[in-house]
Amino acid sequence: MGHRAFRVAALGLALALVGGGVGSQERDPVKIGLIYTNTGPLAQLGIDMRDGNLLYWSQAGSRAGGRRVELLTESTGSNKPDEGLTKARKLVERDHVQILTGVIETPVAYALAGYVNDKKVPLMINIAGADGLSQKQRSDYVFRSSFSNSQASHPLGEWAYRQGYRKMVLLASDFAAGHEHIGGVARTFVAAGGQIIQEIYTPLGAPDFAPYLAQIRRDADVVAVAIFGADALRVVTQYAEFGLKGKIAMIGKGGLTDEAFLDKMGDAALGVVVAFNWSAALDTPENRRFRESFESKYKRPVSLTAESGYVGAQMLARALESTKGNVESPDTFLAALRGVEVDAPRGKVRLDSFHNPLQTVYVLKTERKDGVLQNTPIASYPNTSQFWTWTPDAFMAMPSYVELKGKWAK
Amino acid sequence: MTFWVTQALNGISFGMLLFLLAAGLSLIYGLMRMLNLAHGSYYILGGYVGLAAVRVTGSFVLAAVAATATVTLVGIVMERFFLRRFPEQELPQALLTFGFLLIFADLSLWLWGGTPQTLPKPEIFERSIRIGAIVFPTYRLFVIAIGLVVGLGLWWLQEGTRLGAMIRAGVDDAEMARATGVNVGLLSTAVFAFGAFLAGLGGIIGGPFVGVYPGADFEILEMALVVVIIGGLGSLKGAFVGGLVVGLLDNFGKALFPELALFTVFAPMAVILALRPTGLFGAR
Repeated sequence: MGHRAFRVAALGLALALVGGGVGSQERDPVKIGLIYTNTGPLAQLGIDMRDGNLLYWSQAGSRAGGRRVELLTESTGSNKPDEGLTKARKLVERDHVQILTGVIETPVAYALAGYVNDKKVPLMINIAGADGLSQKQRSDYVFRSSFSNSQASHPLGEWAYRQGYRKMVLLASDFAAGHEHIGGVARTFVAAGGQIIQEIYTPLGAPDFAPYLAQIRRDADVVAVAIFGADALRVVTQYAEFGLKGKIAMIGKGGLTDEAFLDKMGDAALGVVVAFNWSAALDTPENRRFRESFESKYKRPVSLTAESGYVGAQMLARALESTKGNVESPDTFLAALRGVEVDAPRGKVRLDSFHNPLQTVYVLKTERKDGVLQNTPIASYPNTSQFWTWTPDAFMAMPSYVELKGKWAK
Repeated sequence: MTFWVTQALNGISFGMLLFLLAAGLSLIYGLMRMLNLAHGSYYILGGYVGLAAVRVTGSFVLAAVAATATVTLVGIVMERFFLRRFPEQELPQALLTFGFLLIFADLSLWLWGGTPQTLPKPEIFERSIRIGAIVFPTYRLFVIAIGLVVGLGLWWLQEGTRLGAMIRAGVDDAEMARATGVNVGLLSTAVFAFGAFLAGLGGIIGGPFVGVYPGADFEILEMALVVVIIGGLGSLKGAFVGGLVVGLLDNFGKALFPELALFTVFAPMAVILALRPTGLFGAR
């Protein structure tokens, strides 16, 4: 035994000496694989998220915790879980990335969760708000820099009731993200005393929203919308074209008046109210600096997915710093991720015990200021949890929003 | 009431767009017995070139000219230098046009990116009109008008002109037409180019409300094929009626039974295929 202990100690000493001898040399880079969307209705969201990541790493000189960081990117179509899984496999098994990041669509995130659990690869979701992944299907390996889909929906439903709206129509993209985003609004609106009178679900990438808009019941006093990307551009402009604007108020979730499309929407977007955890118009030094550096580097407006991508990179960098780049030791690295706290452009962000951000939710109204459209904060809900006023257990005991689709309208 | 009128007008305007696309597909098939799978590509090429031209010139009319001219030229080149080499060989033709479809799709993705684009409308059609409780975008009325004008023009061309007579002769019996001195080769190029022109026009007309995006080529081709199957291959009247039927079915299907959106278009097609394999107005 003594002999063996000696050998181990000697080996340790030798390694320490070798390690000390090459201390000035570079360790292998940390490899991060980014999965983003670059075709279809959500393409701009994916490209902005990617560029938010690239912006952070270029500012950080591609280094964190004393190690070089290499970002490998892989693209998919809009909402293609199978493609996302193939790309994740390629990144992990062929390129040997140690961390996965990115992911726009909720169904893609759901598809990746099982894989990263098996492979024990940390996944930092930059957008996809898949409720389940930070609730019932909480995983040690899945983290999020963005939001859970229904997180900002809960305050919005209550806010809508307080504006005097009583009859609401739900209009959402017909996939898990749409159901979760809109379900949250419906639940708190109904709980406050409001009534859902109609639910309309549109396919992702619907070429024309006219047939859906014409169905909207005219006795409604508010339409709540969860439609994103290029679809949002069409739904907001066509809402005005068919004369609904000004008659029935339009509210929605952040991406509806995404800064990436705001300029193209023009006056049709004026007065639309959304709930989200960030706006380009937030007047803080961090946000101004972020906005200016993004816009001077990419020559286009900064957007919410760009911010969320940037925050995802910030979180990974912070965890690498606190572990001195030791991504190879999973327990310490995951613990560092759990305790991460960053000064994001949107403000201070930390994670709850389900790995989802606790953050301020803003109610934003689209206005024209100095000739440019912006989402101006008109109300805020600080430190909002994804569980709103419920306890996690009470919240998770209720049916999920995906199950409740089609059951709101009375 | 408002619902029905608005939905009907929507359906008709979409139907007119489908007519522009199906007319070319149908004419080309009628004369040359060739199914041009790259027809949907002409739609997105028209849309993208139109968009680029609108950004440079700021004029919708100039953009329409640039888009249709480009697409017509593409059609001529495809027919003269490629398809002409495989006369009456359906399989090589289908493969060749499918190859073109893929090439155009990748080329557009490379040039114009993956984000769906919407063409700006001509300024005079930016507004909506209001009749009683009905509010309807004037642009869609303009699309209906374009469809009617093109439809009437085509009808006159086919029934009232010498060129139309030659086309009809070529459709009925190419060999006999040739024997009576009709230059069927030149006629084929002309019809192919004209079909491409109509699809390119569809791209620029549809650009402001359907938009152009990767994958639109397949979707539009699919819808146009349903139109010609319902209307009958080779028949202009069929393309017109088929376009209206599919446009209305699609629109009311989505509005009334959103869960069955595709079913409401494809089920009638299957019924027509079973009862009348030649379509409503097909000759053979």
